[in-house]
Amino acid sequence: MFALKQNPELSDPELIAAILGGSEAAFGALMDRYKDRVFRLLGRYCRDPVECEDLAQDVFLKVFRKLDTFQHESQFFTWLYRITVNAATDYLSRASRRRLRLVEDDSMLDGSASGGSGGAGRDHDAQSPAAPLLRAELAAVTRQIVDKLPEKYRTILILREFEDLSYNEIAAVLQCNLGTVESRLFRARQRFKEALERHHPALVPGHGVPDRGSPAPGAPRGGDR
Amino acid sequence: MSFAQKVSENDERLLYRFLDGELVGDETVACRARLEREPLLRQALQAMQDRARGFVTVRSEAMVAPAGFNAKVLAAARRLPERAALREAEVGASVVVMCRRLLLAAAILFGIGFLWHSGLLDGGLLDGRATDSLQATPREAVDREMKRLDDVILSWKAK
Repeated sequence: MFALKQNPELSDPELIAAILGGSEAAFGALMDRYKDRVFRLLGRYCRDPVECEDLAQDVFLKVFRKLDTFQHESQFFTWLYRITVNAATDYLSRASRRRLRLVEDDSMLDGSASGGSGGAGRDHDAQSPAAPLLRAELAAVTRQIVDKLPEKYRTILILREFEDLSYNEIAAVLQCNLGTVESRLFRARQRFKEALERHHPALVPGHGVPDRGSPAPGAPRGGDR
Repeated sequence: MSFAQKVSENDERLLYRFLDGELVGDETVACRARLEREPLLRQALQAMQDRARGFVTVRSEAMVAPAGFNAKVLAAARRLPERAALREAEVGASVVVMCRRLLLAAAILFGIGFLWHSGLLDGGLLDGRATDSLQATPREAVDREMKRLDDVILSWKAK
């Protein structure tokens, strides 16, 4: 406890050792470090803040209970993410059994969000005055499509696209190999693309947008990891 | 129809890995060179980046932990039994689950054995004898019977 107060920037293994030694403050510090990431990840599955808080509480209690089984073979956050993803997918299957609605607004998928047939030739240029609106629309549609994907595709897209995890980190969280991550992610993106084309053709990239002739991007995404 | 559909699946995979920052050294250089040379590949990449814009916007919408969250979890953690007791309880629970599975397996085996013993499985249920289904007479027997009847008719005619 004293060491924790002296040096708040303890590493994860040091915090874990302190928690296993009975330090509540260390557990509080660990939660402070990761609670927002856990909430953010849970929020991708569950939109209700109250349920999200319950799930997050379950996640941290499970971490507390199982901390002595953490093997330090992977980073702590991948272990935490695994617990969080499991909690979220359990929640989804429970909710699906109860036939609860998990997404906020089904009307998006029937084409109303994209403006239906009126969107032909819309300007996707980021400089357009309508760009913020289109971005919001695309974001809403993106969320809707991801929510409707089968759980395994949804999870992998969430981990890659929203949480910005690398393939290696995703493999550690999902406990599968890199090839599986790559192929599952590819299939998830194909599903996403198909849904976008089927339900929101006006938002499909290239829909009436000429080739900008832009060169290859300077740096691929995710280079800041 | 999106531009990405015009490139091969392998190229699509390559572009996704490029976008995800998963290509290494030479692969990145080779991919950049191809992008410079091949407009179709550039278009596919552009389409992928456009699709990813929705994800980028959603990424910024994040739920955050409410005030007092730590206190709630810590209070709940204090109410938990010691880890050793928890582990014992978990072991106990797993033993119960194992016993339940064993009992279920034994019940299934007993059921199969009972059916077998009563003859329902051995040539009973499986070949339909235990049901009211009709059995077809073998073709040879039918032919024999037909031949016999033909012989009878012929012998009458001969008389």
